Amino acid sequence: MNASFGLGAETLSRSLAAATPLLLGTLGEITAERSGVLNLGVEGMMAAGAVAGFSAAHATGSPWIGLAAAVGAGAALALVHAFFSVTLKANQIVCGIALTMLGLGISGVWGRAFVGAPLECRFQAVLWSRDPVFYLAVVLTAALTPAGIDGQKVVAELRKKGIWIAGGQAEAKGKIFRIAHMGFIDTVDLLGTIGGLEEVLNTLGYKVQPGVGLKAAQEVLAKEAAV
Amino acid sequence: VREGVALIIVKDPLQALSSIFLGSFASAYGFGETVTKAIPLMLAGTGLALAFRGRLWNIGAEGQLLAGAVAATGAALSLKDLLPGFLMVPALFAAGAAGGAAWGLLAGWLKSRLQVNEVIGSLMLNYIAAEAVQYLIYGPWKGATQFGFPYTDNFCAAATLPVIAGTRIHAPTLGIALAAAAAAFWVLRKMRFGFEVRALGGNPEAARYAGIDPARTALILMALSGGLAGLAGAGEVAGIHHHLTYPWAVSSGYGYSAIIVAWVAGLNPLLVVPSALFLGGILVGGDAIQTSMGLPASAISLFNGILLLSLMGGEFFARRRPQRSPSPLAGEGRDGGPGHK
Repeated sequence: MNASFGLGAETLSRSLAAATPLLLGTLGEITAERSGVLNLGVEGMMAAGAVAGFSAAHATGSPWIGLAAAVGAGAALALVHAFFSVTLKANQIVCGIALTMLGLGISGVWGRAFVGAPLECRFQAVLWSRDPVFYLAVVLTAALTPAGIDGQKVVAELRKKGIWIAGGQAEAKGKIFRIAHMGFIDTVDLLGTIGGLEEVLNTLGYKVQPGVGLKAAQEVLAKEAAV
Repeated sequence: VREGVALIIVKDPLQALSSIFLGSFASAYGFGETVTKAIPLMLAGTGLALAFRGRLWNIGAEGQLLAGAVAATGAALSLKDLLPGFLMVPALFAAGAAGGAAWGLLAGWLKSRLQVNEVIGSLMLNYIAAEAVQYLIYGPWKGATQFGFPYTDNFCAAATLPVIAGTRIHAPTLGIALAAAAAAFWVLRKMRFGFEVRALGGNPEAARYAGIDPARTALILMALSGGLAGLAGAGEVAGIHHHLTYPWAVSSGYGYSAIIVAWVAGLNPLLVVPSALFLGGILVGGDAIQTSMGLPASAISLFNGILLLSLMGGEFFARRRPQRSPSPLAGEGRDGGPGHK
């Protein structure tokens, strides 16, 4: 990959690394805003998560415990936001700013002891020299449907087969479908979904050679497993 | 070390609190510093109180303050040989107000024309303003006489503000800040525009139905609150630094602290004055506890966050306080009757 793309691949690789915190933070913010709560405290939650993750990983020697502590710290601050803006119906904007101050304060006070401390344990790179957190951020793939095929029908037909994927929303409704691939979804699920998709596209009138998608997917998965 | 920090925070909060407030109010020097820091907080806080009263969530006072500092610096550097000395200070303040207002109007224009949420728009403009200041001090405005430091050249004597002897309190800006708070109070109370702001803040739908133009009011509010923050920026460069310097040195977060100031004041411009002194005291006391108790600077950020949250929790209970007897008619329902809440 590096050989063929040269500088471009390096730039892309670094951009992906830099985008990981943005993507995770944005996914959280979107979830909150969809529920009607503006969260201006993301900055504070990230800072508190960073110091909690670092100190837990430093103390236990396990990056996974660090990750859990970071998630816990961010979630705890989010709970404070929820209590004030949902339960007490306080002003969301001011509350979010208070949380940013609180989180930056916590990270500064708690983290001062760790300034310059080396962290012995790190995540091993799992794929393409990226750590697992990067892949947590890549949660789903959205696909454009071919002209004349209704994305919502693709979703409905797959559900008849017991495979649950999601359609597009608002302007994208009917134009795309989305396949999740995080959490409990493994390679067998992915292959099943792609196989089912081939069948459904054929029934809906878009001719696909059966097995083409499966072959491509298996090749990608085999390559990843070899890295 | 970590345990030590945690212990101080858990074990001796009262000592920390008394250190904060003794440091900022109990000595002449400390109080002078408190008032110095309260000046920009008063100006920006007054503007934010006005904007928030009209439900216009201007989070951009920080950037508007910096824009004012940039405009005032531009005026000081370019007009130094053109204007008679006595006109310099008014010109600086006018430029600062105009710069801040323009930066505020940018967010207002994005909101009224392009439906960009003013929270996001004004917040993003803060970062742009800080980067622009950095660009100027490292680039075209870098002073020839500053030994390579990223500052502009120092202002000429006519463009620096007089201070109260023995302190850093730049008196002209303090005077403007007090006058602005009083004027904003009067505008909200007595003027047609103030009524429109309060109507929009109370019930936007009803205000619209009554013929109040929300887009126009939002633009005026953004210009006013941005202009006040811009005056604060002019005061900082002309009264404290005497040149444009790093954005975090020009402002040190006044634009964000001013949000707390406005909130502590209950969005009443007159109460912004004591509220700004209170927050100024916390900022100065924060410096004091860094030396006396060995706490990091961010302890103050922690303190402010908790302060703001406590305030909002308190408001919840204040809203729900049982009414004694709101009107003679409601008196019948007292003592657990149906009208009693």
